[in-house]
Amino acid sequence: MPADPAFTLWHVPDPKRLLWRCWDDGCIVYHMDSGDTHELNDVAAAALRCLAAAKLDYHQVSQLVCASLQVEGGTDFDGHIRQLMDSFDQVGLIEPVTP
Amino acid sequence: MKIGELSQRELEQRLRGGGLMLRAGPFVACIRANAPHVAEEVRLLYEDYPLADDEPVADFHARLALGTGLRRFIKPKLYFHCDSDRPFLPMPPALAMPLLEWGLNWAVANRGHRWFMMHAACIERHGLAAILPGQPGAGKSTLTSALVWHRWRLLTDEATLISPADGRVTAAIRPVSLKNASIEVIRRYCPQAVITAASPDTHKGTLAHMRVPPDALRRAGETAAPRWIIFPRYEKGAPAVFEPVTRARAFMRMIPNTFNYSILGPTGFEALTRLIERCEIFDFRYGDLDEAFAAFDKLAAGATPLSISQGDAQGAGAVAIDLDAKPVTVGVDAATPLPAGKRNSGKQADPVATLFAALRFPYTMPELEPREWDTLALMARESGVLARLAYHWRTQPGFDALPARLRWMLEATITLSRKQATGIKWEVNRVARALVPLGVPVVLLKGGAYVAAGLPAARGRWVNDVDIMVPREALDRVEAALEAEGWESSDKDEYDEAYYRRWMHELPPMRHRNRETFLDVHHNILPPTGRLKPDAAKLMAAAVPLRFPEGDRAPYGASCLYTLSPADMVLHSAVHLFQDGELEGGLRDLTDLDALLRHFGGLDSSFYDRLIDRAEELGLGRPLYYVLRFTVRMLGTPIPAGATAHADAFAPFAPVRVLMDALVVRALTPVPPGRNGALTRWAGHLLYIRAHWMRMPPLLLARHLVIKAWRRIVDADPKKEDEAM
Repeated sequence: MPADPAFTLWHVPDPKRLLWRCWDDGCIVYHMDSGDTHELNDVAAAALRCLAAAKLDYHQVSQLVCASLQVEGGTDFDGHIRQLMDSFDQVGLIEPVTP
Repeated sequence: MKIGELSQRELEQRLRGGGLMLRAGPFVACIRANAPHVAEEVRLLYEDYPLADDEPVADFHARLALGTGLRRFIKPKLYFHCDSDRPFLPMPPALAMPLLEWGLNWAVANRGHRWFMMHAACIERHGLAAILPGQPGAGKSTLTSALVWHRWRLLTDEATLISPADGRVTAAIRPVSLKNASIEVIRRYCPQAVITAASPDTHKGTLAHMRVPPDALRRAGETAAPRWIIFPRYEKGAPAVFEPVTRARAFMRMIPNTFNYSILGPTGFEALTRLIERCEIFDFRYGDLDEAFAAFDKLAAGATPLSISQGDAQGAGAVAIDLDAKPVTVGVDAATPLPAGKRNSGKQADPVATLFAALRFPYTMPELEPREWDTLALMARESGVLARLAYHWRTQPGFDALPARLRWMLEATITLSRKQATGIKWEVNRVARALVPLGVPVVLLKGGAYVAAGLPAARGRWVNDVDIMVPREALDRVEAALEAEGWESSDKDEYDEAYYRRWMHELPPMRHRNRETFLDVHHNILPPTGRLKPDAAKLMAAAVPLRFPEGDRAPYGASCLYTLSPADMVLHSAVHLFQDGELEGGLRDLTDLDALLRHFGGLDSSFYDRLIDRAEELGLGRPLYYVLRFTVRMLGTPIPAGATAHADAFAPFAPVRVLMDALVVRALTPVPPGRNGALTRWAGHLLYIRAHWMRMPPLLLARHLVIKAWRRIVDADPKKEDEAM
């Protein structure tokens, strides 16, 4: 793990390696590198899209997701995003940005 | 001609001899069986099926064979073989037909990668298909069996085949497997159904098979458009109810019900996506078949067809290797056609010579009769080199002119090999992620290194696990870091665990608890107990940073990844084959060495000088001698004559050399189908004993073998052998 995860920038290393399909009840993402398929709810899908578009830290992702889904943020939401990004990291969807 | 038109004697002769060519839907299976009563049961279930005598190539060769040895007189066992695979534990001969049916299911699921395949029944009405995935015991087969006698047409009970090109379902019609109570239910509801006698006491309970309805067999060539996905569930007393399932949820529920979603990769994702979008999806509970009939009738009556876009054995007793052949020298055009694969006026090609000619000159398509292709493919698969040859052949002009089934087979094996390579790259990615914080170099070994570095040796190579080497002093930290990321020791046996840690050059194999992949962590390339003791520090010092091939991205943590230097990579492969290995799959390993030598030798004219110097420095001259000797002589590897002459200095004394020549060539040469491979097996056994002899001192070896034998006796579970699958 990077030295200080809170200030680390994260990103989807190669967004072209993710295949998306979204329906009313959620999105499915196929990760071509791992061969894994992930079912994402609205928040997770929005967060992953943000990270596919830019290099961001936890807080920035939280703010962008709030704005895109028009929901109120806060400490709890930040914590939720942090957990979510830890899960993304665990399954290899995102990586810390190498300095 | 149909199977039922064969006399009993003819049917038995085919099953016991050259094979019964059975056409079942789009598949052609060559079936052999030397067990009693199989012919009667095959006739009962497949009487109306067409013979495929006009097909030169089978999709797979299925074989039921009684076990040999003394045990067959006390407790005979029946084995199922598919090509070179033996996927199940043996079963009693009384279960021959269930074993054959399970085996054919296995073969379809493991060979039919030109389709997107689901573990689901499929029925059709008015050109529209209902796909019924279901976990065992959900009532899928009972419902399917009943519906196909009630206005629906059977497309399959087991494997739904969907064309990735047009999304339509192809019928893969074979007998329907009925279990336990459903046998009597179907006998009662469908008196016209032909059902075999029940086989009790299988691992799935009591089992019987229902013959395919005549109409379904007659219309086997008609495809259907998927319209519904229905997850059936029998619940006693429940009313028949369809409940809609949302798409994303359905997608995730379908994945475990597919055979090759992950193998097909993006193609599988697209195929499943299109299927989900074309279908109405339901959970279906039922407690009564009459109500189920009515519910399905209503479903079919209300359906409007969706438009589907089109876009969306020969005598090879003598091994055909010329040990006195002169080494091929650099400068010889490797693409020069070799006559060995050609026939002289109607005489069949020697299959062993043909295989070696194909390996020596992979960029030249052999000129063979279709049946000879079938034999060549079978032998190449058994030797683990089919995908390697397929990679070469698919770029050749003659590829499209090959028999269609052979092309499909080669394309499927390439698909599998690509899937493996993707998986290996991902494991390397995860290993780097886990170990980069430690700041220790992680050297990728063998197949993992070839794949990660994009070496030619990786093309079409089967790689099942990742091997890494780290400095011995970092082993504890590496193991702890891997454990923190989900890898755990796969060996729960205390003795084995202790044996690895004390005597071996690697930790017990580690398995990832989620991905179920294997990782071997080495601290050297040979055991410290062995006769040869290469200095691991020298190997680590000469290792080179991993260079990713063009198109591959270096993942986070890649800075810790290394490969052995080119010379050390060859030497490691050499000791694996000739010093440490068991020679099973040895021809595949020899082709690895051939590819490495051609590649490195072609890049650098001084490579062989450094290779020989390095072998001397590490004390690995003898394995290098064998590598150069046998790659040149068996595969025609273009090695400079000067290099082989230098390597002769590492040769053993003459009697050993003669013995090794005979044993290695024999053990590495595949046995043609239908031939007795006793000599090959004996050569393999002797080399196996030699490998152990080289691995550890005699007393330690004796102690180890006694303990292992004793533990096998003490731990033997008599029930285990009776379980199948």
